[in-house]
Amino acid sequence: MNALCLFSRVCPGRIKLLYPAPAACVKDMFYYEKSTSSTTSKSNQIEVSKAKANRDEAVNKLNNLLQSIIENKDIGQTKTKIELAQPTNKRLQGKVNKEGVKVESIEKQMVNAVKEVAQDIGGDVKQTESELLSKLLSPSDSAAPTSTNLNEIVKGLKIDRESKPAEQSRADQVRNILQKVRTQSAGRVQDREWPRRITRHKQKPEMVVQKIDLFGGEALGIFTNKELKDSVESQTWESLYQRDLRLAVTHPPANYFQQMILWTQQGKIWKARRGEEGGLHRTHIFRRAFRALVPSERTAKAFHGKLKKEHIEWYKNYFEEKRNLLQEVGAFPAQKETQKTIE
Amino acid sequence: MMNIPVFLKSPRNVKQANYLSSLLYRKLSHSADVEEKIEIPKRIPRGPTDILRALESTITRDPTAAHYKYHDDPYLIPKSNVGKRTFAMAQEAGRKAAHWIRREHADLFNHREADPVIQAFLPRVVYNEDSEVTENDLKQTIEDVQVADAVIVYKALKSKGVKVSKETEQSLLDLLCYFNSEDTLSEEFIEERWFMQSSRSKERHRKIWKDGNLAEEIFISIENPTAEAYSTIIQGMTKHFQVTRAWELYEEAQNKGLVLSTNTYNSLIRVVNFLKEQYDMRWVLIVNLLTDMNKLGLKPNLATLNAILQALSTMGGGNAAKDNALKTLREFKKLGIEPSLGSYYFLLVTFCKERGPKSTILYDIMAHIENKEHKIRDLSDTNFFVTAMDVCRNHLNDVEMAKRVDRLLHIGNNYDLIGDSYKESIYYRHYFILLVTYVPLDEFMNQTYDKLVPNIYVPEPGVMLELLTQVELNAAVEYIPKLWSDMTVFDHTTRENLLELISNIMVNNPPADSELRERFSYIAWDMYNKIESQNENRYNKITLTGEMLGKIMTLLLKNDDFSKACAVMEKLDKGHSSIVGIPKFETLSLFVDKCIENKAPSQAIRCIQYCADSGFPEVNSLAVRLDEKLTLDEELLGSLTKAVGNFRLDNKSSANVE
Repeated sequence: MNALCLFSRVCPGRIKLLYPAPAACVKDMFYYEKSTSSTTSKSNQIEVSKAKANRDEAVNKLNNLLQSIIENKDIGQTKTKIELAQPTNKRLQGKVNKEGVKVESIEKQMVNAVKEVAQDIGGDVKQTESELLSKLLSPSDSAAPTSTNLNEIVKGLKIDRESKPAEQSRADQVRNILQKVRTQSAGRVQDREWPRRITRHKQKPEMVVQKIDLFGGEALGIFTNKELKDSVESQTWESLYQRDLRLAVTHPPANYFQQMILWTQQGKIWKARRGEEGGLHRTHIFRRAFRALVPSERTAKAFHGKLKKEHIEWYKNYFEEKRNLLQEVGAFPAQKETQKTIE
Repeated sequence: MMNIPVFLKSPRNVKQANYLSSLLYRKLSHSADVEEKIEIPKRIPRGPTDILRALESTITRDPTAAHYKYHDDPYLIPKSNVGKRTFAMAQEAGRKAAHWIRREHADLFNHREADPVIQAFLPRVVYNEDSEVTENDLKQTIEDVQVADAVIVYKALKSKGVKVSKETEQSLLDLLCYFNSEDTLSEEFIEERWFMQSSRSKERHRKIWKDGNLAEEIFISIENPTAEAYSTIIQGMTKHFQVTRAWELYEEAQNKGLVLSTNTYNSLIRVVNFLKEQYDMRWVLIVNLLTDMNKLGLKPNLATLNAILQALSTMGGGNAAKDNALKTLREFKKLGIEPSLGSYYFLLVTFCKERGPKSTILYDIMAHIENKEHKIRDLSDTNFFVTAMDVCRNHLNDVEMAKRVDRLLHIGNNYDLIGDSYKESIYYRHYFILLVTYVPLDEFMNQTYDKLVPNIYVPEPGVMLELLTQVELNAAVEYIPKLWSDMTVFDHTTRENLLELISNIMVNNPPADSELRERFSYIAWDMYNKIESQNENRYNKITLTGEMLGKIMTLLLKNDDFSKACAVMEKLDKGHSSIVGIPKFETLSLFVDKCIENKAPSQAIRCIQYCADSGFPEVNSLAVRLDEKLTLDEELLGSLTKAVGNFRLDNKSSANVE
């Protein structure tokens, strides 16, 4: 039992790939043989009745059986119509994960079928069974795995005539078979490893683009109410969320302009009140300079009296000229206030 | 006052409009229909930063320059990931120090240089329990998102028995619930946020709500809480994963017949995976909540869509989750709600599971978002690019798609949606590994590596390993010197696997031209010195193995750096008992040859002695060769004999046989 479990764990992939329905195949082969009457099979039937305990005989018998099937054209032809699955595309394997379940059952079926057949034949049941299994499990002897022809497959099944020590238990036999399978598959893995590394650039996994229509098709159908209204959200919460959104895309500034934008947003520099007409902006700066000038000039002695007056006059005239403009844009808050300052 | 929008005057003299203004016009004008007659608008409304933005848009990122934040000085430009972080955080620490000084010595900062006054530069108002405060102070602290201050002001108001209006109380509740009654990182510290965000996601699924905090106290103190108050406290609790209490309050509000806000429903949907264990039960709960919303006439919003998709993305890789995700998307499309990048991010998570079947949904998503500029609409939007690149690399193995995603990232200001430094690194890690694997190496080095490294992205050791592997496969040794210098700069020279790989590449692909040979020898010597000068107390120190030393020696010898090779030989000889492994015989044989060339018999004998001690059977041939090529004096001959036995006899006997 253990060995069988092991077996089913080790080689599901291979069996699925090469002989997807071996159980059916084996069963059909043998039952068909028993039920048909052909010239060769008559003599076989007699042999079957005679041979009981001798292991070698059982092996011979099995060989003959197989041989007869190959030779009998009719059988071959009718039986080739059996649907033998093709080796599946390895790449697609990943997509069809569900097959894993099926594979196991196929293996069990196969093992059961082999058991049945071996018992029907009689003789050394264990030996027959294990040899059948070994033939089914080591398909490397057989023709190309793509063949769908039963004949070709069966031709490949050369029965090993080497007599094995009689003491060999069934567990050992199965283990040996497994060993073979394992080393074969291990070899394969290595084969695969090399070229992949070398041709890595070229190799691009084939991909089937399955178009998904994101917006066409069935919808949930929950919101059927025709009078849906935007809900009233608490403002502070909403503004905090907006703040988070803003911060999520505020990254360290990448140039001086970004830096200026950031500082403006943070209120660290004055907001540019005016656009491309730089003159207006200059006016604003002048006004501030003037304001700063007045008190400092007042404290100064009359040493620079004339100069000072000219200086202040200049500013005064400048702002008088621009008064309308300044009021229009709101840089001069009120008329009265400015007058007071100039005094 | 400052916030009053000021309208720009249109240029009065069109002839005067120079290049800049026409550029500004193009950037800023909203009416850009070509068919129509050109009309110069009287006035174009402009924000305070529009001109700066227009100017800024003329600057593109120069990948060969360091980031703007670093000093433009070769010695102060960081080149490694650690360096970048350290330098930026040092700068941030300076900012914090300035803040600290302003706080500690507030009296020094009361002069008002600027007119109008710049509030940001003034010292902060300090509140305590006894401060004379009014409700306006509370409003101000809430507006400035100063949670701790708001709490102090509120408590001061309460102790003085000042009645706070319902609106302000609700505002405060919002603030406290949003931030779990904790102070939050100031907006000022952009660098810290840029480098920090990643760590925040780690505590994402843990209950962090402080039970019995001030928010709860305020909520309890409210007589007959309104639906708004319920909405806020439920949102606060779900945001910080106090899920059970949130659900209780939700039911309580239901029983009272209160209509909660859409965002509250969204927040509940977002945490269904905490409320229900099984996937189908979770979905039933979502459907129930949505049905309630429909009954109440609450219009769902983008956050609802993303909440549902987020919940679905945690419901395994089955078909049910995928179907429901698509159905949800369609439902919201019908309601006129466009998905954001975050919605697509959740779709990718739902469809492209690591263990599930391959899904090409990214193709369908790209069809909708490609060649467009995207603005942030949901906090999850910043996850899109890094996840899309992850899917390109790990799920689809699709270089073309990766390039498309990268192109999208660089459209307009889409790069803002990269997230933070951590996400940016991961994004580039996926991009680099994908490209280096599938794109010809030369193309990769010229078009990607040289462009992005090191200013935009510094490859992690894992990426470097992948790159070196490709160099090895392509035998593209000409890149080795460049990569070694990068590895040195990026601080990768302490990685044993990288050192091993690069030395293997150099030894196995001996270069034809002498320049490269010289470079290799230099690298080998550099490697040797780096390992030798490691800090004794280093955590995982690299120990030189015999093989490694052998490779270094080979590379040195190939370039005739005999004295350096002798130093390595000495190291080998002295550390014979402590160094693990031995060099290849070919290396040692080469060394003896070079000794002969350089007429250094004692070095050769030392090497032969080492060979004999290491048990190389071929050692006699070395001795014979040395004896033949150089005339050894008695003393040397004696030590040679001591090392290998009577090799001359062997030699003669073999000669006799011939």
